[in-house]
Amino acid sequence: MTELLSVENMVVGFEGASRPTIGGISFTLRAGQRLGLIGESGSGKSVTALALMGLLPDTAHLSGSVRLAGRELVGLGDAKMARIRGREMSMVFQEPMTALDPTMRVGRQVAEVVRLHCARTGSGHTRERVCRMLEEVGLPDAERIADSYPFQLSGGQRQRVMVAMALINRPELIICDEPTTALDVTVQARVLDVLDRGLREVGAACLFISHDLAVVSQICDDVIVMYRGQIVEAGPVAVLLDHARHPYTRGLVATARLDEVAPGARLRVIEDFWDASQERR
Amino acid sequence: MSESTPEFALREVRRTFHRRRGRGAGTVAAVDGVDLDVMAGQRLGIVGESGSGKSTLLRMMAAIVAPTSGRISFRGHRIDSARPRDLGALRSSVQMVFQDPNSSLDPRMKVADIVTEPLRSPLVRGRGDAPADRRARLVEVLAEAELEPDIARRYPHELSGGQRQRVAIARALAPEPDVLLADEPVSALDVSVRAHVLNLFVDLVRARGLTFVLVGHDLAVVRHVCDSVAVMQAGRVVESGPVEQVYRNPRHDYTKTLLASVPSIRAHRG
Repeated sequence: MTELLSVENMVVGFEGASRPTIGGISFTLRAGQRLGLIGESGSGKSVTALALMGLLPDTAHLSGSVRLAGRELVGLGDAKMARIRGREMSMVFQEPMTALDPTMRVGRQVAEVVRLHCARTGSGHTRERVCRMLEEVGLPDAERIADSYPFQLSGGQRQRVMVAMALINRPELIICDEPTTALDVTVQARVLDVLDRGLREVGAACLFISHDLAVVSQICDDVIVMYRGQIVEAGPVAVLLDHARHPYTRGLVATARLDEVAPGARLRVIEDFWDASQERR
Repeated sequence: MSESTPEFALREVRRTFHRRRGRGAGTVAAVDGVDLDVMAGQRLGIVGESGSGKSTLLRMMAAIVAPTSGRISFRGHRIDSARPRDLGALRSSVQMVFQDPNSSLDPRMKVADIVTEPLRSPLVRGRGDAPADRRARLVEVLAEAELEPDIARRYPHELSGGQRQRVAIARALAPEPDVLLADEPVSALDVSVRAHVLNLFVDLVRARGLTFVLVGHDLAVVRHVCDSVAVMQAGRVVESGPVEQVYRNPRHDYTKTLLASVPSIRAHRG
């Protein structure tokens, strides 16, 4: 078994939509591999993440195959899926303020992830483990942080708590959906560093969703490009950045590279490379 | 004298807000003693992180927010303590584009009315040289913002994010302002749309010789569009100067940290 995650012809449709949001995508993720998923808003990145995590709303219909360590997840019941979430795979969302429970101290929220999956740990032991994890994600004042409510923390601290929750059970796969998009650049740099070290320490694979090519190129080895619910191109980050085959990818890379254009000169746009109208059949 | 009078002159400008609850309750100085001159034709970028006071500073220049203390002049006339009816010069020559066109455009107005609304303002009409034929001006500015004329009959919710921001730009241009203030105008846009909108800003600012003040957190965007930059931290301007000089030779530690934190596309070429 070399593949940790294997997605085959995954289709996600929503009630009332004329065409599926995800139109049959396939990709694989090896143990420990870091795969970036890039695309514009509406390309289907986040829906892909939610589908893998079994978090799609009831109005969605999922078909195809998603295998995690050989086990089929499509069609698995909610209870079984809940046992996998948080232990074998976990997720870091973009906005920690909505992902965290505002009425619960964050230490308890992290501890909950542990207790849900390891029935035998005593609460004193759990507390110790939570604080150690919070320290590992760069929150040295762990005791105080654990006793804080989300609103008492800064955006960067909240996102570190999310990373701690995602890592604490040492899952094999962590899905990050725009984990640093809401953060300031200096905070983003530190959170990315924490995530990078955490992933290496735990040895987890990562599906890293972002609209920011620069961030993806820092974190990931390989990358998938999505466009209107399809994968248009996949490959190593280096190849995609410099020798993309698909014109859409070349356009996406060019628009992200403000650094390659002289100040004030015309920026290249996707339409210089790729005419979207030819795709709309 | 008149040649060297800056468009905007800010002296010891301070603005405090009161926070009632939570940690840090009490008075917070969002802008804490800023001196700044903006000359005619200058393209100034104000960069900093959330909470650094950059948006508050811009809003004070637009006289949307009043300073708690200090002086702000527009073309030599105080605007910090002026009554609304004495802000005619400012209101008729300065226009603003906001970050989120979803909230800055009235959802119940059609694009035609949104764009021509500034032309109906008595302050703009009183200027004398303001465009009189509103319908003609509408078609003109829509074209300048690279929008199809038939968009005039649509409502904001029928448009994409990029189109909405172009409508906001068209609206700002309609009364032929000399000064354009923009608060994170491309932060909410996809990179692909961002390139279009930035090209539009660069073209328009250049073609009309506008004075341009851009508030942003994206240092690459500011470098692309502006000729000078002011770096803000905790309500103060910690460094300012020509954009290339500040980017190549940052002197203040915070500027260095800020520049070092910008993720760059990892170079794989070898």
